[in-house]
Amino acid sequence: MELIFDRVTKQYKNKLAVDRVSLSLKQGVYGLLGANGAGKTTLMRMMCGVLKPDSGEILYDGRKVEEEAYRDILGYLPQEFGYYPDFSAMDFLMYLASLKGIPRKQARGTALELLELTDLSPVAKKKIKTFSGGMKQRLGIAQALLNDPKVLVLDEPTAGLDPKERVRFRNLISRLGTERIVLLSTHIVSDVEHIADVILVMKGGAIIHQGSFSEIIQVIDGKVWECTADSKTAEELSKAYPVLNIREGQNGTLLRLVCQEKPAETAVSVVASLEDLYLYYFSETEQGK
Amino acid sequence: MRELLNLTGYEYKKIFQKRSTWIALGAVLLWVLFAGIGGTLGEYYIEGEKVDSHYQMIKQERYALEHLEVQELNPEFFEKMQEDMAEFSETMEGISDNPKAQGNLIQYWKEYYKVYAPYSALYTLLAMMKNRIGDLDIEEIDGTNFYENRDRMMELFFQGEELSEQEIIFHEKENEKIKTPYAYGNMLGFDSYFKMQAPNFIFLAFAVAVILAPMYAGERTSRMDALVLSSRYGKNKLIQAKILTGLSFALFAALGFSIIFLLEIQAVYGLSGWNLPIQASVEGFYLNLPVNLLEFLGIALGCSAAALCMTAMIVMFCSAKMKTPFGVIIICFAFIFAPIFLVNLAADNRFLYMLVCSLPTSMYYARSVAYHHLLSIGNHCFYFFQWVPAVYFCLIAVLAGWSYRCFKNHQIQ
Ligand SMILES: Nc1ncnc2c1ncn2[C@@H]1O[C@H](COP(=O)(O)OP(=O)(O)O)[C@@H](O)[C@H]1O
Ligand SMILES: [Mg+2]
Repeated sequence: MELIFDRVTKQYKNKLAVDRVSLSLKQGVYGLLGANGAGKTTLMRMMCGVLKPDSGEILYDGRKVEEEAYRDILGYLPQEFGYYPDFSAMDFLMYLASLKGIPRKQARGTALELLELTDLSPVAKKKIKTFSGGMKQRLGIAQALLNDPKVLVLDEPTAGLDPKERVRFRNLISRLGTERIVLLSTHIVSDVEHIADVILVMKGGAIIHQGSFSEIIQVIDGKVWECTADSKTAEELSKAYPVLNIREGQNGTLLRLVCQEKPAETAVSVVASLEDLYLYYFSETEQGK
Repeated sequence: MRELLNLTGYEYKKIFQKRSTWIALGAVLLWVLFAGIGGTLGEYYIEGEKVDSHYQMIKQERYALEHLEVQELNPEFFEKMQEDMAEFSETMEGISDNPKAQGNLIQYWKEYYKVYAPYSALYTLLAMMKNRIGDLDIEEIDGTNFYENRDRMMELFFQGEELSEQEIIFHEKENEKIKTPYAYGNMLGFDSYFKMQAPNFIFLAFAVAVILAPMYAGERTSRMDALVLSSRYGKNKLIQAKILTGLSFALFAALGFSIIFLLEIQAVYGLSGWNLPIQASVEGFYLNLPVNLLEFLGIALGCSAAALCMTAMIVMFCSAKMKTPFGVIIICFAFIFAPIFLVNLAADNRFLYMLVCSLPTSMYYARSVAYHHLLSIGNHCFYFFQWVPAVYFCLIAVLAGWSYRCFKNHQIQ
């Protein structure tokens, strides 16, 4: 079970959305972390065979992703997906089951299980157009699991979920990751911080970092500092170094920033979190927006 | 195969879950119902005075044609016609000037129509003949010269249409195969079917365009495309199912509405004259095809169904190519409408004329599927109804393959 990306590139008119991405994914949960516009969706579309790369190729166990055999083991939750407004949740799952070539009888059972799993059983017969955003999202997750996929691609699966649903979702994913490749994209650090075996950090169309949480956190480990300063010093510091957090306290401004060495006398080194790493990488992009 | 039918079922489900589908089908149904009974509504007036209802007149004419003493257009028939009509030498319009009618126009009209009813349809044919030939006195047409005159009329047609030697010889041979004297009887039902077939099918074609336009484009606008195309059958069986759905829908719609229409026609006009030669009816009078009315109904209906399938395939093709169903509907409406205008513009150029006449909308006109212009290949000549469906068949195959590739390679961006 191995999914290989070989110098995959996709360019939109004047925008390089995915830039020579080479990756090898094996069984486990992969978290694709990146700011909006980093190229996550584009990359996922290409690995689901709905968008052709300009160059490079994606192979699953030596097979091309354009083939039916690959789609047979694929589960995909697109970032934005539609539905037929007059289909009920059950209809929708049964239809996608037909599209996935699952025999009717078996599909019914699976669909009922998945509706239960995603807490949609009470509304199974309701039309999808009456669903809230979170319900649609859960239905989307359910359909991706219909064919018990070997490769599960989830594009921002937690969008629209409330905190309780998020926790449930995380638990579900870590269970699923034991026997398949799961790739989920997010721009929310806490989604992947604890469940991803490997975190892929994407920026400007390229994967700039990959590794387990402890591996990638090393980049800024020992470089995250917190200090309290008066407002003038705080301003100077925030110009000089990437600031992760800023808060007005009683004795001045509390700053959390990244710096090779101690930025100020009063600064203390603190344990880096993935969030720090994310902000460190994407602070410019965020400000640009 | 089972999966294909299963997916086809879902395509039908998607179609029938749309309100626009029901509205379109409802509109066609209303139209077809109206087309069948429309002719019976209203009244017949002479100089502002109501003399009879159309329904009564049709009933009377139908009865008369179904109970003719002489059932073929032979000298005996024409003699009887002239005898019967002798006492009413006026035309219908002149009736009110007749002294006998003064004061009791309605009564007089009823007497007149009773005699005239069995010959009303034949007078239409004679008038058509006169129109073409010019110096012809309808009163003088009888069983001895009716067929000569028809031959003369056809000759004039061929000259006017600049038919080739080969076509003329072909038509002469065809003409010889028609048994004379023509059997005669109640052709009213078939005539009204042929007359209304084109409007019915044009209406239906619009409905088909509205209903099938979302076939592919709808997946895009509802943003189901990413899900659908990344599923196992999304790039093969689903597309086959869509094509099967579109074509079968067109076929069922064509047959369904035609059957409804024919039932109406049977109720109002009657279809008892099924074995008359088509030349005994208005729609077939100009044609040389040696078939009876029922056979011609089969031919005309077959052509219309094929043309509707062709239209459906074009709609689906546009749907696969274009972004929104709305755009598809606009293009397809133009396509359906165009031949109605183009046919006059193209009349001077034989190639263009043949082209326009082979477009789906032209094929709904019963008369035009067996019209004089033939396609000759080597020593063989073919009527429109013979070669056009064959061309449609090939085109449908090509367009099906093309739209298949189009949707399969659709990129989600
Ligand atoms: N259809 C498109 N046409 C032009 N540019 C696009 C298109 N889709 C995406 N992009 C651009 O490609 C980049 C990557 O987009 P995307 O893959 O959606 O990022 P992400 O999912 O990480 O937010 C963005 O800068 C976006 O503007
Ligand atoms: Mg995205």
